Amino acid sequence: MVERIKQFGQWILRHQWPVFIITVMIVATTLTSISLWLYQVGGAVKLDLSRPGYEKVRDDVKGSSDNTKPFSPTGTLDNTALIDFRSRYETITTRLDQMNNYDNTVMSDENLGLAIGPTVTEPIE
Amino acid sequence: MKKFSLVIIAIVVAGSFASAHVLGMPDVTTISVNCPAAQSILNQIQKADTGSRINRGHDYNEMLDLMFAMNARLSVNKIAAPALTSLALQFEQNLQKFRNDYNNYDDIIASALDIKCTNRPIDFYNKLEMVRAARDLLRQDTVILSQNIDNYYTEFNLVIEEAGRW
Repeated sequence: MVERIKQFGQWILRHQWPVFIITVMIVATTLTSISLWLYQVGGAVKLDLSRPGYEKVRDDVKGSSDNTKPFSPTGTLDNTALIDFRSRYETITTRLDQMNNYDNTVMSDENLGLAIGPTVTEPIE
Repeated sequence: MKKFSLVIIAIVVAGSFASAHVLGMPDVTTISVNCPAAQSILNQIQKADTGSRINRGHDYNEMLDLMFAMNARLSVNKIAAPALTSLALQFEQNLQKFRNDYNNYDDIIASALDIKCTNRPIDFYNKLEMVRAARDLLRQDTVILSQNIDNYYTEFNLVIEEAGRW
């Protein structure tokens, strides 16, 4: 067993360059596979706008374009801080109120063009 | 006992066939003819919903950070507000539920788009019903999150009033 390990070690020393390349490829493949798995399992794939077909949606997404500092968790709670907090709160809630709230009207049979013709009114026996 | 078991099995099987069609479902021919256009519209809805989800997620995260920052600041200023802490945690939990429900909704709508609907119109319509249910769940989540935000603000104003601040 020890002899075999020594022979293997000598073989590696004689073929250092190919072994290095193969090892690097195995490590890269493994890490890439883990990354892709996390990408799928974590749900990031569902929010990836770089996928084909999402070009128009990219323009609708509002990035973190405002460079205002986050509300500080420390410091005095004076009128300035309260006004700042209320202003930020109002800004966010106004934005949320204007957004799509996943109303099902867009998915009605009429909207999808499925409402033409007779409908099934009783279970089929 | 065997006869009784066979009767039970027969009832269950008959029931499963009876429920294969959703009540109020359009005519199968109508679905089969119009479903490619319906899938195209669903595809557009899915993409629009993705953008909306990203924007909502960004604003919800910002709101959560604001809540945590305010709670910390109240603590630094020695103002007790356990209700605000509880409300912020409740918002965080509901936000996580919204994220999970969106992932589920996206999976279901993707499976509805994968169905060869001209060959399987009933399966497509059944899947469409599932999409609607999942989307309605998302709508409910946004309503709850909105209520959480309102409750936090109401409680915040009470705390500030009691603390003698403006």
